[in-house]
Amino acid sequence: MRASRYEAAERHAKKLERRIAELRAAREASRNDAKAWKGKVDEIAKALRQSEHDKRREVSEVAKLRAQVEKERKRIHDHAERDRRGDAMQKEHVAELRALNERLGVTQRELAVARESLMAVEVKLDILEGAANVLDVRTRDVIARRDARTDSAV
Amino acid sequence: MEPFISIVLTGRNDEYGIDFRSRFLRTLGFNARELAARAIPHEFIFIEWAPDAARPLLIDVALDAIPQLRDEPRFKGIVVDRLYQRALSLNPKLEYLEFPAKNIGIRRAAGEYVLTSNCDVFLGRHILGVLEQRALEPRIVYRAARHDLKMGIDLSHLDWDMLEDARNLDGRAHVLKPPLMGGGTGDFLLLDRASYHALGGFNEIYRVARIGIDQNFVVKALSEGMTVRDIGGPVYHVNHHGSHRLTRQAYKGREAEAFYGNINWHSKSVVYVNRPTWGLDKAPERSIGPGTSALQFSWEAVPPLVDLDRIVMPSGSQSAVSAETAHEP
Repeated sequence: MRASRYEAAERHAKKLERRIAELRAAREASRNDAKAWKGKVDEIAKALRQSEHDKRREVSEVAKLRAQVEKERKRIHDHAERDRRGDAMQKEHVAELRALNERLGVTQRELAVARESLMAVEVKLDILEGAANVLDVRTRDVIARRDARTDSAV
Repeated sequence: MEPFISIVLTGRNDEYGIDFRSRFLRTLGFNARELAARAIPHEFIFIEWAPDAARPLLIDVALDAIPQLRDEPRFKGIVVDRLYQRALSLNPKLEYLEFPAKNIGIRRAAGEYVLTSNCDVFLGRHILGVLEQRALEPRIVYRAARHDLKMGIDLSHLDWDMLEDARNLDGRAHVLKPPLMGGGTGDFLLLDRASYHALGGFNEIYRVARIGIDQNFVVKALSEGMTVRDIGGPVYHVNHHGSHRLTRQAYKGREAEAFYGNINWHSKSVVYVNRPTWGLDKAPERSIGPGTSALQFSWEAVPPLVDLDRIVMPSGSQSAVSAETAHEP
């Protein structure tokens, strides 16, 4: 073999060796990249799972809150209804109380007038009793004098 | 000169109320002196109600004891026939119809103002000052608190120091309380004559009791829209045996037997409308001496024994009076 061909073959062999080394390095880099991507995919999958879990929990909480809001709304509505009915009843009671108060006032006035009338009657009775007593005394005087004049003897 | 004030008093010479004469002469002399000292134009109208014919008239006793009363026509004595006591009486236990007697004086008073009082009441210094200043208003019933002086204090040399010495007071000084300003009401009721006449004097319809008639007059005045006011100073009264304050206890539980009648009648709750001839207006009057006259008995002057329509409730008195005025000729 001629030296030139040998040199050419040697150069080619060296070239191939370099190529192999490059390919080995590229395979190593690809392996590293693949490993890195796999890690990332795992992270994303985990985050996705977490997100789905969070979402389920939030949906559940929203449902709970919604139920609570609904319950609260119903309670407020019931309360307002009760208030409305209470106001109406209170208005009725106030009106009743006013009417009762007016009737009480009228009754008190009537009672005062009745009491005054009774007192006036009692005063008049005093006068009548006094007059009866006085007339009794006068009548006895007249009879006594008449009897004395006629000198009646029993 | 017309008197600024007529002071109406009533009494008689029978020691009614025990030691009446000396108490009367003492207070009359004191009040006459103090009024004259302040040049207050005044007259005393003394009604000698149903006097005992066997005794000298108290009017004559007073004129003899206090000669200055004769000097001017400041003292008017009116003797009222005994028959009026019998004719008017509605309670045989009542021996003295004090308020019909006072009405006689009110009816015949000439003063711009009329004070009805009692015969044992000394006018206080403040009251005399008010009269001197003429500081009175019409349609106001003036009342004065009564300060009772201890029984048995020596009054032979009575002066202001003695009257105004708090140590001589019998108990706490009385304070007048609205609206009636009650307590010793009959001792001081001062009002302009026109208003006294508009009210028709004291109640002549209810002649069953002597107590409470004065207070009933105040109720009537209030019901007619008048004002009752404390004049601001006291009158003085010397406690004595037989005073209402002291005898009230003796009749406790048997009030109906008391000589002043039932103390519990409704004097604060009813009023009256006296007849237009109240104060024995129709009684014939004749002079029996200087400044002295006698009211002779006449049935024409005597109001009916029973006049029930004239007892009314306070709210009704105004209409009753108006109706009567409308029917007067």
